[in-house]
Amino acid sequence: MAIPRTATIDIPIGQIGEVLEVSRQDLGENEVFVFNILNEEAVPLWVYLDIALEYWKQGLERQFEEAIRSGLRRAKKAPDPSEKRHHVLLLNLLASFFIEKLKLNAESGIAPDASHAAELDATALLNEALAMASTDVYTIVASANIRIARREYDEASRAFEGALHHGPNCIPALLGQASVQCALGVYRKALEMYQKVLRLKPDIQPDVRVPIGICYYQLGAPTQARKAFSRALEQVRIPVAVTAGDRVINSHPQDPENLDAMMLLAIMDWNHCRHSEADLDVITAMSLKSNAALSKVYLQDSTHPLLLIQMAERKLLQNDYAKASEYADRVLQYSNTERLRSEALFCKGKALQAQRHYKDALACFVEAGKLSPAALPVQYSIASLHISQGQIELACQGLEAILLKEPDNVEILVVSLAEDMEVDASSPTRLSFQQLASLYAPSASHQERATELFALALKHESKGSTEPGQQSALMEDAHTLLDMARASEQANMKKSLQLHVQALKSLHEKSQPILAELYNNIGAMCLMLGERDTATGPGTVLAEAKNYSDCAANEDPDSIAEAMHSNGDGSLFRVDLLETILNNDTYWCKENLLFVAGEILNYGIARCKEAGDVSMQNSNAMTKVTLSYNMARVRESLGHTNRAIKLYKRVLQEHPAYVDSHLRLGIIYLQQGQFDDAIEQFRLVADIDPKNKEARLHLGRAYMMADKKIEAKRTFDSVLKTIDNQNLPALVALAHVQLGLARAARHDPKEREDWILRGHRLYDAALKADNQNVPAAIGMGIILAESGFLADAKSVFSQVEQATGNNAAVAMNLAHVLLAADERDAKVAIPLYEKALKKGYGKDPYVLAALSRAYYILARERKDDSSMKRSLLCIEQAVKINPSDSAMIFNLALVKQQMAGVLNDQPIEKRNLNAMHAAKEGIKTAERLLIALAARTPESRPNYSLEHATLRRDYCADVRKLSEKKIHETTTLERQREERKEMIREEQKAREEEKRRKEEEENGIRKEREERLAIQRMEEQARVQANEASSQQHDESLKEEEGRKKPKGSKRTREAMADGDADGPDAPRDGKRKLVRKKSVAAKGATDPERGGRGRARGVQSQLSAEFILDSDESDSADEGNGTKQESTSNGQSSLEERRNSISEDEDVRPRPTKIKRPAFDSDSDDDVRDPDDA
Amino acid sequence: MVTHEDGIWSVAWSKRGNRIVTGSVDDTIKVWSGDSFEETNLLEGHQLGVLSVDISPDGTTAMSTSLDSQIRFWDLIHRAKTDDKTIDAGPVEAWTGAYSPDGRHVATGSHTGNINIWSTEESKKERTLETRGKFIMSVAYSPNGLYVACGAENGAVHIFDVPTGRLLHSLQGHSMCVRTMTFSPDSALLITGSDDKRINLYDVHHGNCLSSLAGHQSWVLSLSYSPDTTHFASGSSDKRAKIWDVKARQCIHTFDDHDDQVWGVAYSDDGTKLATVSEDRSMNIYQTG
Repeated sequence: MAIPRTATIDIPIGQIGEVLEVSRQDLGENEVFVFNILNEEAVPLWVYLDIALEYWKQGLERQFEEAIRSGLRRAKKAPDPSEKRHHVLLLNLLASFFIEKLKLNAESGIAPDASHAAELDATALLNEALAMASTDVYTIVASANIRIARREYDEASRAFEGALHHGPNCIPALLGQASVQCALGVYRKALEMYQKVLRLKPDIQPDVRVPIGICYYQLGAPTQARKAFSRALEQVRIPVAVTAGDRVINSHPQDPENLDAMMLLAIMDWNHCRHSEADLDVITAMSLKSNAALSKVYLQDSTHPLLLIQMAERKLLQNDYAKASEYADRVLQYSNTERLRSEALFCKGKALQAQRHYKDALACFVEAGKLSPAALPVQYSIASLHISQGQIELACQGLEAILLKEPDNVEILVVSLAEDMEVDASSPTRLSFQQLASLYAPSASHQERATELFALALKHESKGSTEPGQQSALMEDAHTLLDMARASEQANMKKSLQLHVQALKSLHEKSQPILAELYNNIGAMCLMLGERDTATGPGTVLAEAKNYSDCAANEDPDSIAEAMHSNGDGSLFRVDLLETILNNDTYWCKENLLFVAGEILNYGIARCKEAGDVSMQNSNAMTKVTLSYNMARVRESLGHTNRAIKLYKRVLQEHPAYVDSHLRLGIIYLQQGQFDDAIEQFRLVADIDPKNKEARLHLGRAYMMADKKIEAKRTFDSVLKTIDNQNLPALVALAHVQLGLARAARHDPKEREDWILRGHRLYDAALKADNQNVPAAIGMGIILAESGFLADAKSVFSQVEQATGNNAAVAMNLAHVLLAADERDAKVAIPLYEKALKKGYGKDPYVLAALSRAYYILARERKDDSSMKRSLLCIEQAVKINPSDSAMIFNLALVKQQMAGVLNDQPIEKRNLNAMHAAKEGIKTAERLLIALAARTPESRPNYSLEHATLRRDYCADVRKLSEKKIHETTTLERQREERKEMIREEQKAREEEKRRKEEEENGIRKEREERLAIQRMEEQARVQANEASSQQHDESLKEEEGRKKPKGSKRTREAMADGDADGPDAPRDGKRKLVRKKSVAAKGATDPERGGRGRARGVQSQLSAEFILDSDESDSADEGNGTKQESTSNGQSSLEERRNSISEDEDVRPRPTKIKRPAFDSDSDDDVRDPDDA
Repeated sequence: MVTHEDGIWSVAWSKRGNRIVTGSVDDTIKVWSGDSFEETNLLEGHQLGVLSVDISPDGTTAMSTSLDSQIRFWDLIHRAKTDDKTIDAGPVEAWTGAYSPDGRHVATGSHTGNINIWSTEESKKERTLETRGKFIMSVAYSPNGLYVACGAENGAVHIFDVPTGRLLHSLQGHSMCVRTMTFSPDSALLITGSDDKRINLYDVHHGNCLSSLAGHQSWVLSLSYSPDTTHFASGSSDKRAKIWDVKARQCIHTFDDHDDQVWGVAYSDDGTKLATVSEDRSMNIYQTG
């Protein structure tokens, strides 16, 4: 579009070549004249154009518009195909004018209606133009410009694309496309475009070198950028008319010196000297240079937005916030470019933020973010503002969005952001990683994510640190370390501890103040790790630690702490030690950890005191209390219970509402059996904090242990009702209580039934909620057993046993049920009991007694005295541990007595005389014990049956008699056997003698008659053989004789028994024989008419196993004595059945209570006890 | 060294004659030389586990209590039969027993909460000191013969004045069964061991608790005071034996060699050795001085 530029415009008039000359200068004054001519004469369209442009150049917009409009009118009036090009041009021009107006409107903030109208006008015009010449490049470019104005970059880009398609070298299209690409952030493409423009038209105005420089800069090539800017400044410029549509960012074409270039160069210099590691001189030179450039720009154009931005940022850096926001405001006033505006807003926001006008700052940031949604620093700032205002959720979302956008290309981001935004070299992305992670850290549900994020941040950091000179700041930042430690607390406590220690060290190195909380946390962590099972592995215990844990350390902890403090020169105490333990697996054991925990906590307390002297801050006091509490935990863990109690009490003195202290105290009291004190403590907590489940559960347990079932029930009820109706422990505990009540209500079948039903329901509910709940399963099993469903109970226990494998309570209960279901299962039950003993009931007399009972049953069944011996041993141990239980003593006597019985029942050839003699002696002992037991007054409420003791006592005499008889029998037999053996031996001796004699004779003969040697030897041999044969024969005959005698012997016994039957006192023997085959006896017993008469004696005898008293804590045994009934089930429990008959036949039939101990409530509660950890 | 066929429940080291006597749940009592630690005698006669053994101050006789409720006496010098001296105390009428310092009496605790004092010469009950409390698990005579103390199932500790038979002090401090107690050689201190895992030190004269030592992880089963009065030893069901410093009130050493609960500890007369016996059937001798 080259229009000849002359001083005048020749206006051809008419067709004859008449020309009217109008001076360009006078166009303004001759306005009326010119328009008259234009309207009246048939002037070619290009004249209108020329005149309009002239007006434009002179800044006469109205005339310009008028000129074009009249041209358009002319074009419409006389459509002329040859003039079409000019027509389109006119349309374009007008459209461009509107677009320009639009832009101006936007800048000066004129009402949107006006700009909207202009936009509509422009669009209409362009459409018209397009309709006329759809391939006209300029039209397309103009319409693209409209799109840019509307910020529809993609469509604009497409339009430019089209324009370039029609005219590949169309500069406006190229420029437009380039600027669109710039706006879209595709700098490489934009750069290409600009370069093309530069090639096509090296002297274009405004200088494309500036945008090229910017592109280079954005692409991270500062040298090229610098070159481009310098070149732009060097150029000698020829002012060229510019189409309005070709405008690029910040075009100020009138400036003889390119301010943009200068400005940008200055900024670059400045940035360079701020970040570069070059030596001081260069920096100074550069900054001087840049300052000079800036001032130059300022002199020329004090409203240059770039300059203003720069100034704002500088002021920001100089902490001159008021000035900064002033500059930013001015930028906003003068500039309409989005990016500049957003940066200005950002600057202002920062300034406001620094001035603590958070709300306004946030508004600024949000607006900035709207203007340039891709600018991460803005987002980051928004997020951090959110954080400061406590809107964590929003902040998290924002940060997540940042991360989503820039998860990987951190390097580019680092560079671009660092230089663009002049933020410190530390990447905002990393910061956002960190910040986000820190945000997540405290909330448990996000901890995994937090850990992940920290890992990411670390990765990026290490990437960043590969660049020379960049130190890994992250690893030295103690707060980050602490955050990371907090994040990994749940997942990996050891790791967390390590991080804590690292943080402590780094804080110390930087000699920053170390909060006592840190000591507390490290100590608490050591303590928790120490209490954990994993830490109790075999480890080398440090000498100091050993001392520490061994010693009761009765000294005052404060004095220790003080002593340590004075020794420890106030520096980092014991960190080296802690590290040794951490880094060396052999030291990783409970003692060491607890020791270190104690040390650290002591140190923390000392520091707290120190700080407390200076200022009595509230939080400090609180920390100190926590430290003391943790110290007490360490003591407790070490077994220094008294010390711990004292410490807890001291904590409570200072802070009476420290709930955990109360809880721990209560638990300690509970363990020591001081139930009332424990209850007191738990109630205090429940009063302080009515919603505290822990306290209520403990309270309930304490009530249970104190045997206050009703209170316990009420407590658990209240937990379920008021706090959490799905609380499993409470559910199970309540069920346990109901089970206990059911037991207690044994004498009232209806009530019992009721409790059992309730218990069953609760267990059912608990199991439904958690089918892995072992205590509930055990409880269910017990309920089943109590109600007589032994088979079901058995299956429940077997399942649990299989599932858990090493639960002592389950093993024990399974054994109970097995035994209850069928006494012949004793062999199976024994290993189970032994397992139970091994796994947890090591000293429990109850289990020992149960085991003893199992052995006893086995021994009686098998006539096995070694089992009986085991039984004796077990019951002896049980008595030794709990001698006050006289039922155990009764059992002891019983076993001792039956020792003889078992031996008596053994087949005669198996009997061992020594054992029998010993057993006989034992009967005496048993008798003595039983006499004494029977003699006790009923008022003393012994927990065995006096009646049974009496019966047993009387029975002793019988057993003794029998034993004596048996011993006599055996002795006789043995003697006879011995005699016979002796005889045989003698006979054989005689024979041998004879043989020898004969041999000697023969030898003599041989000597005498050597010639007949061979024949005689033959004869001799034959004779010897004959001798042997005869001796064998003799042996056989002996054996036969013996065999004949044996049946005779037993017959004799039988006769004696028959006598006994008749005599009465001997009756028990009969019963005992029958016991050998219980079933048949039972069957027979039912039909035996004589049974009533002998019932009593037999009953006493046969009930042995049932009589074996197990329940020590309750009145079970007494109960049994009074006639606990067994519905005559068909499982062969003849003994019970018989007993029922023997004592009273008219009583109600009730299910037999299975002797099952309380479920493993203790062991279970023990676990829970550890719960109120607070670290 | 494995010494019995079954768990050993008690041990005593004589003041004279340097003998060790151990009583086991296998019903037997064994006598050992205090120098060579060889078994010198096997004493049989009890029908049930031997609960406690003690040696008379002159070192000639040993007494034992057993689950079979008999108190038996054994002649350690002549090994003569002393069955005629056996006392039938009735079941759990004589749980653990202790010789008086003059050797003429034996004190035993009973289930009714009484201390029975038996004459060793006449083998009969001489008098009864009543606590009206619970089962008496342990008794101890003070070396000066003035006091006899007992510990009950419920943790109560009582001290009686021997000449008058008056109850001097009822000491609180333990919450659970007191299984063992012993006086210091100067009779000024009484130490008690309980199921609550603690060892308490009492001032005998004033009857107040001086200190409560924790350290064992389980019940304290036995105590023995070193003759040099500066230490005492304890055995516990945590399978460990510990030596404590009386002044510092601290544990100064822990022996961790037994595989089962340590039922008994006993110092030698010169305080240089310590014998420990355990449920694991073994007796260990440690050099302490």
